[in-house]
Amino acid sequence: MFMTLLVRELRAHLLTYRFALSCCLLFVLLVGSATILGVNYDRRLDAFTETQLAREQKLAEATDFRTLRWQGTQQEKPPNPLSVFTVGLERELSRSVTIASRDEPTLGRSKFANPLFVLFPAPDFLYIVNIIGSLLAILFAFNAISGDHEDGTLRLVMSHPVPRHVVLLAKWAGGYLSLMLPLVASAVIGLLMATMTTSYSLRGSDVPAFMGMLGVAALYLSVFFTLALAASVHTRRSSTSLVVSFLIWVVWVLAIPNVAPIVARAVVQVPSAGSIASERSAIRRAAFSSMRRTRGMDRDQRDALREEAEAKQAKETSALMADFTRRLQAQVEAGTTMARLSPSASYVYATASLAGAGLAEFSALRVYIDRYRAEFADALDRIESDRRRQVQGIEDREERDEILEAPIDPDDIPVFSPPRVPLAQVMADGQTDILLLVMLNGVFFLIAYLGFLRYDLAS
Amino acid sequence: MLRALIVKEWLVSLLELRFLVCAGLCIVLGVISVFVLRADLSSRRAEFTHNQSEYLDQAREYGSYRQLQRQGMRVDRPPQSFQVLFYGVEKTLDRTAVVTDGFLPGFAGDLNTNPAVMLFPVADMLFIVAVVLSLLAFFISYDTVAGERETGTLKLLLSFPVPRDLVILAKWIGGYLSLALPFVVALLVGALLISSASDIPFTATDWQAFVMAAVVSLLLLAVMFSIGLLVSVRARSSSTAILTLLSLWVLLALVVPNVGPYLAEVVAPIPDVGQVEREIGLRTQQISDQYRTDWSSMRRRMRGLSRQERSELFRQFREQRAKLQVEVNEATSRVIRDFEIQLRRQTDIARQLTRVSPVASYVYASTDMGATGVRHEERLINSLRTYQRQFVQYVGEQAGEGSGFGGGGDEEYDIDTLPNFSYSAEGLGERFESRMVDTLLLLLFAVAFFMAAFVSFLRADVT
Repeated sequence: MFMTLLVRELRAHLLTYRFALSCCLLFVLLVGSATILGVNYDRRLDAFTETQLAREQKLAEATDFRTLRWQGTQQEKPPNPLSVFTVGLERELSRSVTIASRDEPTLGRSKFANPLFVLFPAPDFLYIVNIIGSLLAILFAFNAISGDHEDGTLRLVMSHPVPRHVVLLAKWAGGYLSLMLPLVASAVIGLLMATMTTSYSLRGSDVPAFMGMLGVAALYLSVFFTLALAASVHTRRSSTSLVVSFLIWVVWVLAIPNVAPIVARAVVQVPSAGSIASERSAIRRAAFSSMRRTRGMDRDQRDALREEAEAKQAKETSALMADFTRRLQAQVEAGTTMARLSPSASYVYATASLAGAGLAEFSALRVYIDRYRAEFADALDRIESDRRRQVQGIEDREERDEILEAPIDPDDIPVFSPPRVPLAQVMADGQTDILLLVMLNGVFFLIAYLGFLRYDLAS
Repeated sequence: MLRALIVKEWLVSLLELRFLVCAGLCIVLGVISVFVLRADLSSRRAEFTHNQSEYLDQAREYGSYRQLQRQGMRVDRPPQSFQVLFYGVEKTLDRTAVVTDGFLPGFAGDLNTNPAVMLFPVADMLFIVAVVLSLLAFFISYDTVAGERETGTLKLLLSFPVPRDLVILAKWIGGYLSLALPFVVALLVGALLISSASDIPFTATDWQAFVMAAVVSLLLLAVMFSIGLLVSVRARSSSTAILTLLSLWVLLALVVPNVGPYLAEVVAPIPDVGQVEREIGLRTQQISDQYRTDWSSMRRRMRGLSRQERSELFRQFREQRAKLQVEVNEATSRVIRDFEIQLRRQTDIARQLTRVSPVASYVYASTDMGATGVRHEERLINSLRTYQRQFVQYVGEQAGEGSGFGGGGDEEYDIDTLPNFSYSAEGLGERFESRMVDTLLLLLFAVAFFMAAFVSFLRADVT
């Protein structure tokens, strides 16, 4: 029985203008976006390779360890292949970082230099599903029951010996499938398109991540589909059902997630960049105040004093930064928690972290840069002590200088490769979001089901 | 006659749930957005003033002009009053610049920021008009003609001695008013909220820009409403009309403007930022290499010289270094300027490509009128560079001949007279002139689509 109803629903959907239009729209948008972003990825990959080569060449040709210590090293993360589908924070994550052992790490210019990139969000898979997909989901379901009621087919169907839940389930499955099939097909064609036209390819853990992105999208779209279904059960006219679902859609998709982070920024205050900088310099001054009275001390005493001061400075600075990071994290979390009132936010957070371009990735990069900085300083110290050992016993100054100032082997510098947050971790972090989406699905389906059980066919 | 028709249209839409929802959304979203962004702006402003004094305190602690020159002066992006309505490019995380005597400064990013804002577009007035209201315009207009044809009232109406041109005109005016009035109310409440906040200095110019931006917004709504009317006249049924309009909305408001910069990358490629950074790195390395060789050779030559001869040698060395620095600065400036010229061209091309969408034109026009758009960004960078020249000149004059081997502090180190970074937005006339094309395009679109709807309706078959 269910199958008969399902096939009927599917057929009814396939014949509509709505289905044809949404197929075309999804196909053009998803394939077009994957192609355009694939070209962009290709360009960035080329630029990245070039930068990498140039850095190694420079190291091998002309950089000795003193220069490197002084100038630091400029590093960047390789472009993320999944950014073709979800740009997320990639624009921030892909900046170059200059890491010197003495100064604070500084970020380079955004690789997306055009200021128009700031004005408009990227037209990626995430964006298309988040806004357009959810709208289409509503369009597919808003008249599922009320429309059939209006034209009388519902009465006809119910005159057959079919349980109501089967009718509702068939309605849900038929509409949902006719929305999801073109979407998934277009996304996969988009992937193939990007792979064929550019040097793009998904490798290793990217494939399950991509599947995960499709899965979360399916869950998210189902929320809106079920919402519109519930609205169509509880309203008599399809136009009312459309208005109600549309209202909820605007608030959920266009209002809450966009307002929440700004509210959080205004409500949960963090110390400004200026205060942090001045507190750091205060710490430095306090730590080194003991160094003022070094006259009359011998070298060893002075060195001991300096080491003590440096240790004190490092300890207090890291305490300060840890406190700052904690407060920043609290601000971020306040924003995300508030935004999670809307399934759109849950969807975006979950998908962005699956793509390795989410908020977790950003904090992970911060931690990694600190670690890399320490590794870099260690590597330089190692190179220096190596060279010093080599020159021991050599009297000739020029010969010594030649060894000391010889270029560095690029392999001696640690490789900058921020680890991707592992998929298991992403899944664990994304639990809240996925649970929220599942819950909303359940709630709306229940509302639709209870409403349909009591549905009055006569009126 | 026209009046009666308009009143009829207006009353019909007033009675509908749809109208109430649209009006409510428009007013509530508008007010919430201004309210939230107002709080954001005042915290931004407080942060800006606080940071400015902190940076000055830090500069005081350097203790010598040479140190100041090397470490530089930090400058934050000044918050723009208009970001309370149009956030525009102010959304960027690149907030602080360091001005030294080195190469051309620019605002740089920071890892210690909250990136959550970058995941979603900001819900400012721009977003509300460009995305939400343009959708509502379609939502209100899709059945103005198609719906009446389905219910048969159109036939009835035309059986009276009313000319068709009046009917369609009344439909346009009545429908447009039911969209524009809630928006005007939202704007007025927004204006009230802005003027009641004591810490948002909206000047007369800002208010004029506000009015201009409001007019442009109303123009966009007129364009979108006319498109809706046209589709409604031509569509066979209202459900076809709404579906067609939704697809159009997706393309015009969500896709075309966003694809622009990506397409421009293909049409007018520019060198990668990494390449530019590399070239700059090469030039700055030149100077430090030269400095090191000079320094070590000088140390060798200094052995056995008298104190006076030493300081003479040191002076020469410093002059040489200053000359080299100037050369390198020029070379890096050339690299950066070249890049910026190409970037500007690419931005222009992206704008040309996306102007097929009235929403894109609207975004360019309104952000530039509110001085939070691309032109503002360029102007900001230019004033940062002017400030750099002032800074270098000031430090140069104050340090004067100076003495000693660096290191030590200047006895009369006093930076109270150090010029402040100041940024003033573009004049209103210039803003308007620069976005004339976009405004005219919007006007043209509005007239063209209305005419198309008009002509279609005159020839339409009402049965």
